Amino acid sequence: MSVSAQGLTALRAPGGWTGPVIDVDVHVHVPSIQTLFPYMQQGWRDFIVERAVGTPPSFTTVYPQNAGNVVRPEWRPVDGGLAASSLELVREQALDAWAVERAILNCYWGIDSVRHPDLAATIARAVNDWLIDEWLDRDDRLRASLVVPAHTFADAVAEIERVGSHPGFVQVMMPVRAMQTYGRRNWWPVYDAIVAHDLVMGMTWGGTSEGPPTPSGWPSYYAEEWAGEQGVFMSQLTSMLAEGVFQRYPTFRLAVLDIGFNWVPSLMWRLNKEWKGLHRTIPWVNEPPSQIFRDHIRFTTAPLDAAPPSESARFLRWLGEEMVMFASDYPHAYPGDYRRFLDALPESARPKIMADNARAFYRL
Amino acid sequence: MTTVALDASTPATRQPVTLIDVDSHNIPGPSSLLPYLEPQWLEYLQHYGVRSRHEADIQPVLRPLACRADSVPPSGFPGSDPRFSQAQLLDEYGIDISVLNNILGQINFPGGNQPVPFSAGLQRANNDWAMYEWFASDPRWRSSICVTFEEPDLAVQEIVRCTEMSDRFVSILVSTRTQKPFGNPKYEPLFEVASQLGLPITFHPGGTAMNNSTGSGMPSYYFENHSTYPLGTLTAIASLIFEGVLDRWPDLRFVAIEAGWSWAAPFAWRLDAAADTEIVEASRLQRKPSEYFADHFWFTTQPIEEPEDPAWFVEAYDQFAGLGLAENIMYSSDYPHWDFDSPRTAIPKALPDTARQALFCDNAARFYGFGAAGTAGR
Amino acid sequence: MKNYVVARTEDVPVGGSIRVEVNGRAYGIFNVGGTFHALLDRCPHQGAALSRGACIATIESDTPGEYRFGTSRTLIMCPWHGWEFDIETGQSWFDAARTRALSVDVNVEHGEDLAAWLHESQQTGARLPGPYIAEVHEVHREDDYIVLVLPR
Repeated sequence: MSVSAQGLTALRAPGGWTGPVIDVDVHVHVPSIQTLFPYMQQGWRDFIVERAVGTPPSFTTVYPQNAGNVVRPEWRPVDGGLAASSLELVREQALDAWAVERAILNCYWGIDSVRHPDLAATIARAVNDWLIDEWLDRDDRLRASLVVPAHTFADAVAEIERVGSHPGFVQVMMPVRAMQTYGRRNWWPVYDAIVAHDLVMGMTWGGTSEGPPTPSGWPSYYAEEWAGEQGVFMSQLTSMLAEGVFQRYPTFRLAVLDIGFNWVPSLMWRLNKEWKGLHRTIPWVNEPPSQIFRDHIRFTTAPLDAAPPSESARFLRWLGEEMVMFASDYPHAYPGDYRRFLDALPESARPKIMADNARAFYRL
Repeated sequence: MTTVALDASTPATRQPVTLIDVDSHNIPGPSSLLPYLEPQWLEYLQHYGVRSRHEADIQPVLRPLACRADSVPPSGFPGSDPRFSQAQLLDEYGIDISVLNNILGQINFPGGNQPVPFSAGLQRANNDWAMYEWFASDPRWRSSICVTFEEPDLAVQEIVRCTEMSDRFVSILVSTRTQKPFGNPKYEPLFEVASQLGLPITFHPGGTAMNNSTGSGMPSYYFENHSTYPLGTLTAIASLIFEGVLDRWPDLRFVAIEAGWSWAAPFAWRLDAAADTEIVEASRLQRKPSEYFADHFWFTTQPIEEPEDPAWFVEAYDQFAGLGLAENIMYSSDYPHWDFDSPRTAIPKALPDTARQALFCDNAARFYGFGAAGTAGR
Repeated sequence: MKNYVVARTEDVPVGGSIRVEVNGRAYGIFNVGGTFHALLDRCPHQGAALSRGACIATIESDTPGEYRFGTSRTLIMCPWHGWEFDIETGQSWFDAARTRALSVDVNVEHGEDLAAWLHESQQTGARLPGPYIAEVHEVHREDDYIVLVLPR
C-alpha cells in the first residue's frame, strides 16, 4: 500500500526526476462548514446553524475518510484533523515534496449532494472565495478549479461569471456523476460560460446523478464502486463526443481527472469503429473520435493501477505521449510507482508527462 | 401448442467441428410465439402488449431491428425464420454450431412494467419456440435459456424445465444490465442452479431500462447506447468478484457477449489496485481480482477490435492472453445484427494460426463441452 | 479493356440495384436517378454485398442540431456496418483517401448497336464476352443494355 508513497516521494530522490513538475490534481479539503462562514452572509450562517447543516453527504460517501485509498497514513494530520485542509500541510507534503512548478487544486466537497439550490449556491460561492483567500493568494505556484452548484444550471453559470476571471482559476470542476449526461444540450449555457472565460472543464471523481452510478444499480462494496467508476467516465466522454460538444465549442478543453488513462485506448478504438457506420445519426461528428479526443481531452497519470510499468507505457504509446499529465492525486493512496513508470517510458515522453503537456493544455 | 415427437438429445454432427459461433440471434416476429403462449397470456398480450421498456426505444437504431439490410426473410422479420438463418449463416460460412441468444428474451421479456407471470409465460414461449422450431429444423443450433432473471426463483424453474427438455440449451441468458449488480445476493439462486447444472451464464447487452444505461442518465443516441455495451459487464465483473461470489461458487462461468475484450486487462489491473488499497474489503477474498478472470470470465470477438494501427491488434491480444486468457475468447457473429462479424474477414489474419484455431473453435468447444475439435458432435 | 453485357436497363429500375457476376467476380449495378453506376460488389471492410445496401443522400453538419440534407442519392450504405461510399468514385465517407470501394465503368448500349456487334463477331469468329449475352439467345434491338467495362 505504500508503493505509492515510495513512488511519489522518491520522485525527487537522488536518481529520480530532476525536470519540472506540474501537478494537475492536488485535492484540498474544507476543514468544516464553519471554515466557510467568513465567506457567507450572516443570514446563511444562521440558516446553517439552525438546520445543523454539516459537510455535504456525498463528500464522505464518495471519499470515506478511513477507506484505504482516500488518505495515505503519513499524510493524515497528527492532530486528527482533516487531511489536505491547510496550505501548510499541502506545501510540506506535496508542493515542496516533489518541488512543483505549478499545482492545480481541486476542492471536491460534495456540493452536488446539496439539493437546496440556494444553499448549494451559497456553499459554492464560499468555497471559491476560500480557495482564493487561503490558497491562491498565498502561494503563486497554485492554480485551482472553481466549483459550481451544478443542479441548477443558471446558478452554475452565475458562479462562473462571478469568479471565472480570477487569474488563479483555470478550470471548472464538474464531477463525473451528474444529473444528465454531459453531452446533453441543456448544459450549453454552462459550456458557453466555461468557454467564454477560457477555462478547462475538469471532470473529477464524485458527484450525484439521478439514479445509481452504474447501469446495474447500486454497488455494494467501496472497492467495487471505485473500480467500476471507470464506466461513468467512459459514458460521459461518449456522451460529450456524440452530442457534438466539441463541434459546437471548437476551443473546448476537457481534463479527465482521478481515473488514469489505461482504459482509454480500448474506448477510443470502439468509438472510432462505431462511428464509421453510425456517424449518419450524429452527423456533426465529422472527424474520427480519436482525433477529437486528441484535440480536446487530456487524462492524468493517477491512478496508475496495478499494470506493470511496461504495460502502462504501452497504453501511453497507443494513446499518445501528449495526452497524459502528471497528477499526484494527493492525499490519495493509489498504488503506482512513478519512478518505474517513468523509467519504462521513452525519454522524450517523460518531460511531456511531468510538465509540458499540462503547461500547454492549461496555458500555465 | 404443437405436439412434435422430438429426439431431445443432441444429434451428433456429421463432421469434425471446426467453426463455432457463440452468439447469433433468433428474434420472434409478431406471430412467432403465438402457438406457444398459454391462452391467458395470449389474451393479455393481445390487450396490453409487451410494455417492458427497452433501452433503445428512445434512440433510433441504424436500421429496423438493428439488423443487416440483407437479412430480411420473406416473413419480413430478421431472425424469425430458422431456415433463412440457417442458409444465410450456418450454410454460408460452414458454421458447425451456433448458440442462439434470443433478443426479445433478454431485452423485452424479462420484465419490469408488466406482470411477472406474463413475463414468465413469454419466456416459456421463447424457449419452446427455440425447441420446436430451431432445434427441430437444424442440428447445428444451440440456445441459451430465456428467463425472468430479475425473479430468480421463477427463473430457476424455467432453467430446470429447459435442461430437462433438451441438452441443446447450453447457458442461461441474462442482460448485461440488471436491477442490481450481478454479484448481489439477489441472484444467488441463479448461481446455485448454474453451478449444479454446470451451465454458464451469458451476459448480453440490452435491457429493460430498470436503471439508466449510464451512471449519469440515459443516452440520447444509438451510437452512445451501442458504445455503452461494455459497461454492464464491467460492473458485473467488479460485483461478482468483490461480493465473493466466485469464492463461494468456484465453478461459475460467465460469457460476456458484445462487450469487447481489449478493456479486460486494464480493468483487471484496476481491480487489483482497488484490492491493494481497500484491504478491509478485499482481505475476505481468496484471490487477487485478476486471478479470477481465467477461471470465470469469457469474452467474445464481436464487435472485433479495430485499433488505429492494425499492428496494435496483436499487441492487445498478447496483452489479453498474457493475463491467462488465451482460452477465454470465442468467435461470435451477432447474426443478423448490423454489426455482424463475418468469420471469413473479421478476425485479422495477423493473428497467429494457433490463436485463430483457439478463437474459432477450441475455446468454445471446451467452454460449452461440445467435444474437442476433430471429433464428431458433443 | 473489355465490355461485358450484364443486364438490360429495365432490370435495374431507378433506385434499384442488382448483383451480377463476371469471370468469378461480383459487381453491384445501381440506378441513381436514371444514371447507372457499378462497384465491385464487396465492401472493403468485411466483404458484404454493396448491391444489397441502400442508396442514400448525404447528411452534413458542423454543429449539433444542424442538418444539411443532400437532395440526390449519391452514397451507397453497406448493408452491414453502414459504411458509406460515393456511388461514382467509390470513396468512403469517413476516409476518402485510403478506404474505398472499387468503382467500375459502366455504359448503356442500345440493342441495335449490340446486335450489330454480335453479328460482326459471329462473322469474324471473335467472341463478345458477356454473361448476360451467354444466357439469352438474342439481343432485342429495342432494348437498352448495361455494359461493364473491365480490365480483362
